[in-house]
Amino acid sequence: MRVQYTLPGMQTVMTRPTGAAGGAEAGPAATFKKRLKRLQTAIPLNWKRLLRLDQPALSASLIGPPPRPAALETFDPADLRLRWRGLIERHARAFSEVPIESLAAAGGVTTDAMRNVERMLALLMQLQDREDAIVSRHLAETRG
Amino acid sequence: MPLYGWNDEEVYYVADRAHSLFLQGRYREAGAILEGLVIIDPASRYCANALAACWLKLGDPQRAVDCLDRLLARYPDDAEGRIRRCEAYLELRRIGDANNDLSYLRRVVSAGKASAETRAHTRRLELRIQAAHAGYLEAPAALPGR
Repeated sequence: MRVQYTLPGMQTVMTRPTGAAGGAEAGPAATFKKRLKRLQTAIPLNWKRLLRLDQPALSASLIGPPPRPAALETFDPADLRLRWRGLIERHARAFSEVPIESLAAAGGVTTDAMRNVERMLALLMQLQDREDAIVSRHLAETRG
Repeated sequence: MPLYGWNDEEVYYVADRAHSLFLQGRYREAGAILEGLVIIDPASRYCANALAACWLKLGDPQRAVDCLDRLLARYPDDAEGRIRRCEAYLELRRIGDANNDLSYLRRVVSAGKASAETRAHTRRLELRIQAAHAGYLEAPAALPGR
């Protein structure tokens, strides 16, 4: 019984390098040798490109986690969630109560710079809302 | 010390959130949070370095340089910031400025004050600047509109 090791329609196709067909070197060994030669000449490499010196170091655009403050307490996730909510609400309220110009003057920065803080708080509130929606949906689903 | 009534723990929690977004590939959101944090805690090396990394990820090395200029004016010895700024300069084809940062790093290395990581980065930057002189830098990516 003959075993068919290849899947029909999945066989690799032999390609001959151009110019290899015919002549004295047309045998399979000569073709393979020529193909190796073609590979050697087809990849234009130099040590600078091999070391990826044409590109910035990957670590330049990567960051690690922030350093933990020494006095940071550990909370369980529910408590942490509550504190996180309180943090955003408190700072967003404080920010909305004082004119942005006064805050900028107090910190010695421009009003545009303070707008970055405003944008950050808005984004954190948005993320909080999304998280709340996910948690609510999860609770509703688990209750059945 | 953070300003505007914030404390170190709060800055940490928010920076951690920015880091999570960064790991998810949401560089714009991470950058927006860090832009706020560098105002709230201008003394934070982490926030400034992380924001610069976001700008590099977003293909805006000029903003990374601006951010690192402020960091290095405050902490000239920040090797991570110096390495990152050197890379950003190379992205901007400012090879002379990159060389200045490299010279600083070389001095730190030869004084024996550099970590193994800084030494490795310095060596790589030397080779990269050599490559830049030989014209082996990638074509600059199109900068996003500011």
